Amino acid sequence: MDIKLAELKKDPYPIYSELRDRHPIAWVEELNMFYVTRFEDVVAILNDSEHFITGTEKSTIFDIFGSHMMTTEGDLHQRYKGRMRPPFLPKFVREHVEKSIGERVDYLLDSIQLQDAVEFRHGFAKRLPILVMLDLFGLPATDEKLLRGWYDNFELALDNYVWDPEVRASGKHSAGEFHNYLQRQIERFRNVPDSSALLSVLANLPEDQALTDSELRHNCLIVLFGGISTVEALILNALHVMNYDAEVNNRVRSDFDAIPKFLEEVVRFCGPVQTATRHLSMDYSFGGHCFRAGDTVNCVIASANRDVNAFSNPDMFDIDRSDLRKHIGFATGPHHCLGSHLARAEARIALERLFLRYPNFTFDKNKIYKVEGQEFRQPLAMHLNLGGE
Amino acid sequence: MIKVTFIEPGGQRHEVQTATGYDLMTVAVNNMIPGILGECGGNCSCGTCLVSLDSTWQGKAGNASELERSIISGYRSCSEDLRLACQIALTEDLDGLEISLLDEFY
Repeated sequence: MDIKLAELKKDPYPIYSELRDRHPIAWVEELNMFYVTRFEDVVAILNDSEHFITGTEKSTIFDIFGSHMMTTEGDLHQRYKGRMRPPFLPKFVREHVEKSIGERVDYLLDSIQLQDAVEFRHGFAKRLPILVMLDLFGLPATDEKLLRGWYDNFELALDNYVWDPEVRASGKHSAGEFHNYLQRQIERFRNVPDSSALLSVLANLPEDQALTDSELRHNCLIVLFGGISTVEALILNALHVMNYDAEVNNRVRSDFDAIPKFLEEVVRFCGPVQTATRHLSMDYSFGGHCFRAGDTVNCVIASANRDVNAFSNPDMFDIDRSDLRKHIGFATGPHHCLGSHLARAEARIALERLFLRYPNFTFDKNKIYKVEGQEFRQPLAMHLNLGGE
Repeated sequence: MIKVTFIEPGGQRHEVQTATGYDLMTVAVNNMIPGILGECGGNCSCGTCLVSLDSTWQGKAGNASELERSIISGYRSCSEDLRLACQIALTEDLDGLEISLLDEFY
């Protein structure tokens, strides 16, 4: 089967369906990697960190960001992720982070209030995750544009499967600038600790728990930037579903208790992150295919979440489904998304306050937008009439 | 089928009937039991399915491995009652099992 990148970016779901049925492990020439599309296979690979690893020289995330929790396995991975996990657990997010998320949401909704019609992606969804991360780490909100600039370079570099040297050099340059920036912030917090700032807590851990400064910077980088496009896409994909499903639109606006279930189903049905990439650590036979050491395998979690062997009526959007939490939209296995609960909280608070603040908002039917992406998938714009039609 | 009861810190009980052969975390997640996240899918990696068993059940549920104990120690000092639900295989011997949920995560 000849799989075209342009078609994957445009509408991958019919392709996923055919792959699951006929070619569950398929070679994608343009991406120089295998696609694995069935739920059972994707779960097995993401749980097998002996044969399918994250950090090799073929990995763009390793090339640009080096060694950190997303490019290591075993004890080293545990050392990194264990230090960072506590503030990302639901209880901590609820008790210590949700208030500041609400303040940032209100600030951004204030900033668009004078506009009757608004492009919500650039006015809100792109900005919220960066402001939340700056607050969480204790970094100045005035550095928003600085982080956005670095992030845009990172995004290009991580998607650089053709290894364009200019894109790669730009990504590495931005990573270097970020390290210098973060080191200055670490030293600031060593001089004046602040227990409410995650970076300060991590920079001042007791000696027997502390990461080296290099380890700290590398892991903060991946955590800080891992929660940006993903949250933006979750908010926009949720609005996209509301735009096309009047029943869901009415229900979530009138019943805020349904929003968490709604968001779970958004992650399953049209997840922001479509794939999780792994690399073969050795020659290995899996699913009737003989992989060679160094092969790249893309686990298509967005396809797995539509697998009829895992979900009832998988192509139906149903927030009342009994298998709501079975999805692997935040991946599974040791590299499960650290920030999944923070992402859920940001999207939920954003929707709640949008509905409260602009109860009559409508989607602008005159402005057509594209939904695109092969790795991250989301609407490229979201035009709202805040006061209604 | 066996019966497993999950008890929230506030005392609310959740009774679940389940076939044997599953691990306790999977049963909890499939039944939307609050407080058990099971984020790593049962890899004994994240610790987000930490629970407490009283002495009646500790022997029947087996002992925690060294790896399991190291993960638990990331949250609390290890003690005999603390286990990761993903490492407890449900057998007929565990019919009637009562699990105390912790307030670590929710």
